Amino acid sequence: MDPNKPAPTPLPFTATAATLDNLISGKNSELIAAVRKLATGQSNVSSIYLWGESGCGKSTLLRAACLHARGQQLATYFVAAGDNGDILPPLGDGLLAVDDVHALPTSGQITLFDWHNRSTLPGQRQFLLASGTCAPTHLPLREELTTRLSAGLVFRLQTLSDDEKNKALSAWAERHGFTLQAEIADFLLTHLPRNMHTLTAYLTELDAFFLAEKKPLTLRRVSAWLKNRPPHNTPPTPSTK
Amino acid sequence: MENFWQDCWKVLRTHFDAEAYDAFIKPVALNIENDTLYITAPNKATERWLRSNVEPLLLQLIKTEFNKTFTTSYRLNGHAVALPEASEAPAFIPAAEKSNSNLPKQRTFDNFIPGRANEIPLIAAKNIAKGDNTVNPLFIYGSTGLGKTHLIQAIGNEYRKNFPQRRVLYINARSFLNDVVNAYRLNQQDKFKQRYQKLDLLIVDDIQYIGGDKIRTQEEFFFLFNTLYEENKSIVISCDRAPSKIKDLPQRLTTRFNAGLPTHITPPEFELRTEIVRQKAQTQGIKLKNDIVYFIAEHVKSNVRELEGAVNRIRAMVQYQKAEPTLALCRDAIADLIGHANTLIHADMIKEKVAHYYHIRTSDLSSQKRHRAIAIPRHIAVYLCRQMTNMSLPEIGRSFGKRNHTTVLHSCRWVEESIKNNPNLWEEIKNLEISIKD
Repeated sequence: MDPNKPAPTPLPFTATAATLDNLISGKNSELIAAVRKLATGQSNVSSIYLWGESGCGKSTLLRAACLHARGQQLATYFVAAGDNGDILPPLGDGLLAVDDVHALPTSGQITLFDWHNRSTLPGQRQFLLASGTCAPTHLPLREELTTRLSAGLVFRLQTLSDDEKNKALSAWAERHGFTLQAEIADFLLTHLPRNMHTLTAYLTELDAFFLAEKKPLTLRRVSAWLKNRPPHNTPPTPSTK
Repeated sequence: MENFWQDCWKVLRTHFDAEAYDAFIKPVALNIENDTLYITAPNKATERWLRSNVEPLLLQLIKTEFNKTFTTSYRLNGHAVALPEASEAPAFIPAAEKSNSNLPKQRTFDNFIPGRANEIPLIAAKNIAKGDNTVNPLFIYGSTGLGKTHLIQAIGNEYRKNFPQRRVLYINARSFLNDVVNAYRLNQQDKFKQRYQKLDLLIVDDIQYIGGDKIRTQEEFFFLFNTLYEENKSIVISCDRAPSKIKDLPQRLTTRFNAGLPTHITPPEFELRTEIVRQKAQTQGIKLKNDIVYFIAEHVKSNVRELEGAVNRIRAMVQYQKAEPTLALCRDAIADLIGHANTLIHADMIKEKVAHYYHIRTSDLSSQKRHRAIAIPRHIAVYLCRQMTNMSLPEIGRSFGKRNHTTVLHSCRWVEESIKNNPNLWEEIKNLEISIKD
């Protein structure tokens, strides 16, 4: 382990986190059912790889799966591969979630390969949930790793429709303690890039702004806020919750 | 030992949020004595929390490090104690000493599907399992995911069945490497050698991992290889490439690997792929019609793991939807597995496909022309941008000749209304969606 590397992202433990129960599933209900089985330790495959474009909800789903697994007394470990993929833990039984697996450095790939090999040995209860931006065969990783990811379950995470995104934004706001009217969610969906990553990042910023102002969110205020917001040369930081 | 404890603290720090770490973990001291992990906690409440939250993880970390199971004992101490060194290094147990052979029982010759791609390796493998070691070592190589691991594990299982008293070990070269490192770190090289040398059949998977600058591992493996070879014990090796292609492997090892039978597994041919799909489906309890089997075999060509993944996915789908697998459903499932290198759909791609479909120029879509032959494809292209990308309405408007976001909304609504009464238009849009995704 390299002490200079940033530490893996800790999982959120607060009430604001998305869970497998409150996620808006859209066309992904089969995928979520499979992830739930894996996170409960009842799956008959040892790995699930899910892929989809940036902002379609992969990280949220991985975190929700980890929280679910913890609730089932399963040891969990969440790694954002781009930030700290070279310090994968020597995990035994439990669920290992690797987000953005395509960004794993070589050392992390070998560790994951070892981990995968151990998971196939008799008596092991090790499960892997990984995410990436493309199908496993196109991942820029060692071939022995991509073929192993292909052998489990592979799903493409389907983007939510605008109506589902509207619901997801309202649910996100509710978890964070405020109400987001449907017309404001519609407004955001009409005026901003519509990936959930960006939308929730704007919501985080919006929430912080109006909390400081001690004013409720209204369509007029949100519209004015967006108009007066500095140009997007500094995109908002997404919430990890 | 110090590095190990440092790693442990690092894992614990990242595994729990800062609040929990400061409150419960920071004041704790850890120590190992005689196969027992001693956890010194400041009070009973902390001990209870540690028991349920930290103990399982710590035991896993220690088991992974030392290949051995430890018991736990708690000590109460009103104040925090600095992290001590272990008073005595825990005994090192190499993989070879474990009571089992590391062999998954389900990997047998019975469920290994023969074909042209694996004909010769299979014959050689069966001979080894019968105790015939005229070919030694058996060196099986080929790309990843072609069934090498299955085949060599089947050798081990069959050998154990034929010779229950003999000692067999299946080990991945990466684990062997860890064993060597641990043996040297704990100064227990003799124990390591003695235990590996007792084997009657050594099976090493992915030997390419001992290539490179791992000189100590290469020396240990060379020594072990010679000892087993001279005592007429069998050695089976798998690799993702031919012996001479392993990067930075000493010549003396390459020549020894070549001295046995280097044999090649090639990607499965169509007939073998169909048989693999059929058998995997049967094992999973699902019945696939021929058209589905052929479809999978036709589209998943490169390796067996992907075929397995395809069948896994179909089974999950069948279980979830409680429906018979149809070709249409299977197509969707396989599409997720295969995907495309470039999955990002953008406005230019959509404009190009729509223009081509309606025999107009791409630039017409962004022009101010308003006659039907242009306006309708433009509505459709705008609608597809809204459906298939994450662009905002103003962004879509800009990419179609600086149009306003309300114009974009108008186009989307026009398409949504029109397809309700016009099945042909609906068909055209579906065709375009498929063409864009392709």
